[in-house]
Amino acid sequence: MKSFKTLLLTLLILLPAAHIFYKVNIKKVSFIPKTSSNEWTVEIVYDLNLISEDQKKRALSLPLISSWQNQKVEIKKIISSHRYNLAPGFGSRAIEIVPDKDSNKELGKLTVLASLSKKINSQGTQTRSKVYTDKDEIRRKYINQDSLKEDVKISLLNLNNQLVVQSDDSLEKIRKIYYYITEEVLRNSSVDTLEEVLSLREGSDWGRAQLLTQLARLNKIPARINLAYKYSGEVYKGRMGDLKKSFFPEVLIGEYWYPIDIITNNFMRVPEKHFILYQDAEKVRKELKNNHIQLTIAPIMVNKVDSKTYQKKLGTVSGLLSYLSLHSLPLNQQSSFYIILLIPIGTLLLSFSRNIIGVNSFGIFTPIILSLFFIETSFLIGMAFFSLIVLIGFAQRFILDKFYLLAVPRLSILLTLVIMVYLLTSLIFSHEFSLSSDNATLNYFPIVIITIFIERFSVTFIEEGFASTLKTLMGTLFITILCYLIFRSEFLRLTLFNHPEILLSVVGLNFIIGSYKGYRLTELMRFQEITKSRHV
Amino acid sequence: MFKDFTQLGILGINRRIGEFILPYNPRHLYPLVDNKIKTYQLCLENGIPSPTHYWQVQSHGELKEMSRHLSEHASFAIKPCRGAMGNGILIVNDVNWLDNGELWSFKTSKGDLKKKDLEYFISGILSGMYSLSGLPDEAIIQEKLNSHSAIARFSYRGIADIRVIVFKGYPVMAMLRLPTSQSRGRANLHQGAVGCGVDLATGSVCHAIWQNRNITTHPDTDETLATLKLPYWEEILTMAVKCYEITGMGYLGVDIVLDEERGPLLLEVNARPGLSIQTANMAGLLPRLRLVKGQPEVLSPKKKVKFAMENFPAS
Repeated sequence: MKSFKTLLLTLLILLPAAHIFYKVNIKKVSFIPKTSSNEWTVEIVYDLNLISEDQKKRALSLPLISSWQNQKVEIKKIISSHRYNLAPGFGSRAIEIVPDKDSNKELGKLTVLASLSKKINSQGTQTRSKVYTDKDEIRRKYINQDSLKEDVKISLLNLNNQLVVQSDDSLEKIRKIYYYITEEVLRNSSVDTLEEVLSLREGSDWGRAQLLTQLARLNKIPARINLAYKYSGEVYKGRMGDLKKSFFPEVLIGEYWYPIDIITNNFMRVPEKHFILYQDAEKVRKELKNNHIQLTIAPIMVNKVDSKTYQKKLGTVSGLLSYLSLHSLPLNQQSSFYIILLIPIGTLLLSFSRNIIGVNSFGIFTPIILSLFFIETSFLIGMAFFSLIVLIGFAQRFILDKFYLLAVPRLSILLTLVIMVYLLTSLIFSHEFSLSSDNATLNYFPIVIITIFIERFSVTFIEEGFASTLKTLMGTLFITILCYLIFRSEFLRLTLFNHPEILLSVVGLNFIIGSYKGYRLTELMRFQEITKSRHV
Repeated sequence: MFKDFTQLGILGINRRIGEFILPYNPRHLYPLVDNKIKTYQLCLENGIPSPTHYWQVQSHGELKEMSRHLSEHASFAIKPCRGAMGNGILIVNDVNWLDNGELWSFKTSKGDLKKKDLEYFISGILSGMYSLSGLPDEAIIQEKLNSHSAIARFSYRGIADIRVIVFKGYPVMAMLRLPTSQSRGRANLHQGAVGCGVDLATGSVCHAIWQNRNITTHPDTDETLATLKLPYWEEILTMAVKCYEITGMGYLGVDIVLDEERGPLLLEVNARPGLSIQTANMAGLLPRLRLVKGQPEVLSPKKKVKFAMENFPAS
């Protein structure tokens, strides 16, 4: 039995090490892939469910984001139940859907996964773009005002006469219009149509962009509106905040399109932190509206590593290795594995703390869940959340207990309180707290564990008093912070992700800790009285 | 770092679990000791004296009948069936009645309580608030014991109990636990009770600790603890040995109380007895456990008691 155990242990611990050695030193695959932090994956979803009956029979063109100056776009995957092809359109690129003529199948949703990367240092630089194609045609297209109603045209003309002098050159005219809009037309997100903007002198990004464009066109300066998405949040922290839709106009002067930022007020600059999705927003909007297509775009994850190159390299080494690599998973699954793989390491730390050091904690999962929460948010928010949770524990002891509630409703109240605290923390720290879709599943299950933690905390408090509860609480915090510090390591996460066989070693190490029959460090204190008096 | 510990043969938590509890206490036998109602049944069947159960409450609905069940008793103790470490125990010393025969208020170990408070307390037990696993539990209302006069003057309120560690049916170490004002009548060391090491050969207190520190007198009563000698000592040890026979558990902590009228009574049996008994006795458990490891398992209780009294005197 004993030699079997030794053999098993040796295998469990050495096999993964040997395998990693084989991969890295013999097959020359790098230990972890190169990291990058400015490549993001976004999910673009076209909801085609509301499309009209006759539209279904015809080929349908959908606008698609494309590379442009400082931004690089790579389409990773297109998920559609229909035939499609990529074609030019919308000032850049489009997907054309070719529905089956005979089938009555619903068009459903079409999903595009694309990776976006942006040269981060290039923010704010002047980014005019040269026109290479038929200038005259573009000019004709972008000064066309046929779609405007007569009365709108008249009020535009009146406004224009107050703003510009005919002798000005194009640049001067645009500058005057720009100053008028940024200084006199207030921002109001509910005012969307040109008519309203003209009469109210306030407008949304879209409304103000339209006003600038139409005034420019009135002066025979070609103009168009870019559909852009503003991103927020810190890129280097490994996630990207929400994408917010925004619009900014561009005017054609001479050979170049010049961006005009009326959002953060920078004349002839692309607004900071913006991805440009489509250069002709009017057309895209019209197209989408007429066809009843809903378009949503959301960030999924930040690609931390250059998975693709790494996967390719693995493929050249061994088909099996590349088949078994987590890098071959869809990106959103990849990101959840970065977190899931940390959990066994957490339990290992917990076994060590409990059985070798002798630190007690409330429950097995509480410290790990808490430390993952710390990782997801930040140390400060984590501590704030933890303190609030402990506060609920006290509230349960000193308030809830007085009402003689039965166990299940009482637990139900606690659970609801936990969710409320969760909401509160999210709202207070909303700018740092991004529950992006990639780890949504991870955000659900801790609530129950946290609730059980409070219940146990409160019972310990009643039964064993303040001192004992405080000790266990400190123990919980100790393990939480230990896990947090170790989980923070990007290197550890990448190593586990690249070499999940390490989990076998974790099993082996747990085996060793589980067989340890020696003393715990804290027992030094516990039994010191015996050794003391025995020596005297 | 742990050289002294190894020399004295102190048993640590890890070894207690890995070398004794896991191999000697089969999991399927746990309900016999974790469930006090089952332990009580075993005692009744095997003629081991233990405190009488007045009423066993299984569901919240039965609480309506509290007055009827308790009408004949002026004092009693309420316990969770599957509790641990003395948690969730309430002693009722006196009962006040309303004119219509309804129970009204109680003088208890947690102060004066109303009927509603008592119902809430029992309801908490039923919900599993004090049970080992946190699962719904049953509540036991049993007779309140009166401390034996040999012990009473040393102790501060509450009931002292005697813990005997029994390995393979051999008593290996014993300790008397005396409640203090700090422990509020409870006999648990970590709650502030005094732990007295007991010489297995004689039943005399040989050493004492309080708050993990050596003491010679009780902190509340100031009585010199070394003068305490437990009556019925052989009976107590024999009762502990019988607990091994009825439960089949190899490594046990047997808790026995001395009642003024009824003598030694089996209070409960513990499958995971604590380790502070070593500090109370100023001795490690390991040398004794290792000695017993080589002894025959099947032997009459009398001989096992004799072996313990001869081999494990206070050092």
